[in-house]
Amino acid sequence: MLTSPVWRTRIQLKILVSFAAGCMLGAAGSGLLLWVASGLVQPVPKEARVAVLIALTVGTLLIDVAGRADVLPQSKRQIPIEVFTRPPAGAGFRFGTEYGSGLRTYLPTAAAHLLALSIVLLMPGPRAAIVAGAGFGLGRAAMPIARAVNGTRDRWDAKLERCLPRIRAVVAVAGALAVATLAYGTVS
Amino acid sequence: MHVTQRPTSYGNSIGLRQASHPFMPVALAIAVLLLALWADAALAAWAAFGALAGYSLSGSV
Repeated sequence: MLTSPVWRTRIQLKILVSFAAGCMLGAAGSGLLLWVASGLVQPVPKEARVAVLIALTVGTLLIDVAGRADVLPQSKRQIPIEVFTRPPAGAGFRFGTEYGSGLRTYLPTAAAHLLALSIVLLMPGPRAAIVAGAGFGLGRAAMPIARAVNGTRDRWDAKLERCLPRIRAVVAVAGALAVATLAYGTVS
Repeated sequence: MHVTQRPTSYGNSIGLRQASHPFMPVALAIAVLLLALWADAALAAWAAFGALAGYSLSGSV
């Protein structure tokens, strides 16, 4: 079926917006679940929790340097193909919800694990856990958004592939900095 | 015949094509993170930390 470029752009925009909203909602849900799970470590003194988190941060950094994120716990199940049988916007939203939750996709770096550990061990409260989750969803949605905005999809994919090792290294360092500062704020 | 994909007009017309480099979301999130840590805005720092973690998973489904 032939459609005009304007109409096609509108459909793409609708799918992208619903996908991003789904990503943020799914990830915020995961953030909230992690906050609930953090109740289990509440009896542990905060100094001990921070010490454990710092040790685990070093561990995740080493895993990322070695490129062995596959040893970390993660779901082997993929998002089912049936998701795409819905109308485009609904499919985008449903796919985004599952994609953003981080529970049904392959995790090639330890960054998501570090974020989850930080929420559980620093116990920042439900608002911060939801905001961190929504940020995670926005980060996941940023790739297809930047790709669509660029317009040169094949070239953009090649550029991303070249940049990925550097992106992951920078994120690992920035993540460690964020953990250190947020942990300092928790104990001080 | 070699066919090249043209940039979308809406992205190109307002200069978004140059701003959509794969490193741009990382740079933005780090800027927000540093600003939030400096301003002691914990919620913004959590959001930026989350965004960085989410974007680092790009390329995987």
